[in-house]
Amino acid sequence: MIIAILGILAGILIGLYLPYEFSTISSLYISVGILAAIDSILGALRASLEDKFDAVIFFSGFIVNALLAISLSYLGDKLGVPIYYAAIFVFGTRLFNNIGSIRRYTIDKYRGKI
Amino acid sequence: MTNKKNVLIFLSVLLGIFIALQVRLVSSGAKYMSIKDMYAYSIELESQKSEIDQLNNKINEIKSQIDAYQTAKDDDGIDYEAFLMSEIESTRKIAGLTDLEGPGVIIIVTDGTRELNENENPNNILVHDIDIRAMVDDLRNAGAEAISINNERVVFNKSNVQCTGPTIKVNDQVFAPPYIIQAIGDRKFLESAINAPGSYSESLRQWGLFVEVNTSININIPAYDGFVDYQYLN
Repeated sequence: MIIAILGILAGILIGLYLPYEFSTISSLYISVGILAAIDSILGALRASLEDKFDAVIFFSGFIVNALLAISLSYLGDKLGVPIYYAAIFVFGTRLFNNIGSIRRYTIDKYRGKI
Repeated sequence: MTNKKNVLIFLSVLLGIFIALQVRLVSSGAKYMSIKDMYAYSIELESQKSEIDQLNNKINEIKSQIDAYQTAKDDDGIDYEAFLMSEIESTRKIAGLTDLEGPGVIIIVTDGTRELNENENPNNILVHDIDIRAMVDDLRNAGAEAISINNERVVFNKSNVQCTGPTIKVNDQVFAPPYIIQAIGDRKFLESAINAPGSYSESLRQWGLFVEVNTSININIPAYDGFVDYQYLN
């Protein structure tokens, strides 16, 4: 878990100084993709806490979820339906579920230690 | 285990990079916009740009005009009097204050001579002020540049055509039939404006009134000789 947080912080530091910028058009898609990625990372943390972590599933989930969310938002934009709401909704819900599981698991572990 | 950790670290860093880039993008003031909105904005941008172009052209035009005036100020060779006189002349011509001549048509309208049917209203075969007005409007639509009724000039803002019993008042002078309308303009157009099927004069003919159109290569139309006195214009 600490690894993930450190990794994200390091990534933010790198990203702040990268001489590259997304185009404005892709802004929404990137943010939906980021949501999917956060969900994947949290899912991985949860899985690793439950000792069910599988690198292949995690990696593929990270990539596929993000790409799917992005392409669905794009499709929705073309069709005039805000499909990205669906992505936000699903990933947001899962995100909170994952956080809840992690929290409970950590507390249990802490109490068990005591 | 190290492999798993590496994957986690790699993807975390990737996520961090994306988050940072996105934050930079959002905080730079850019905001999300749907493709449809962008299309609308791009069209608006285009029209604004063309408007700016037009305004710039206008600026240049006015600047060159100012330059012309500036040089004219320093130039003694320009005859201001003649220029102003020609300006006044053209204004008077437009206002109908000069005698005019040119090619055009002469229209003769008079009451019908047919036998009235039983109980028929004799108004049906009389020329009314509204008939004259409609014909004048037809002529104007056909491009008449000057119009007179019984040698009374019809001007835009002052001429009146009024019904006064069996007679018609034009420019405060009373006339009895026949009425002679003269118009300067394209002879073919004016003639067909009166003769065309469906025109007002054609329906007058069907009622039994007498309408005759002749073209002429030289028509004289007198100036408006009434008095124009505005009381309410500032």
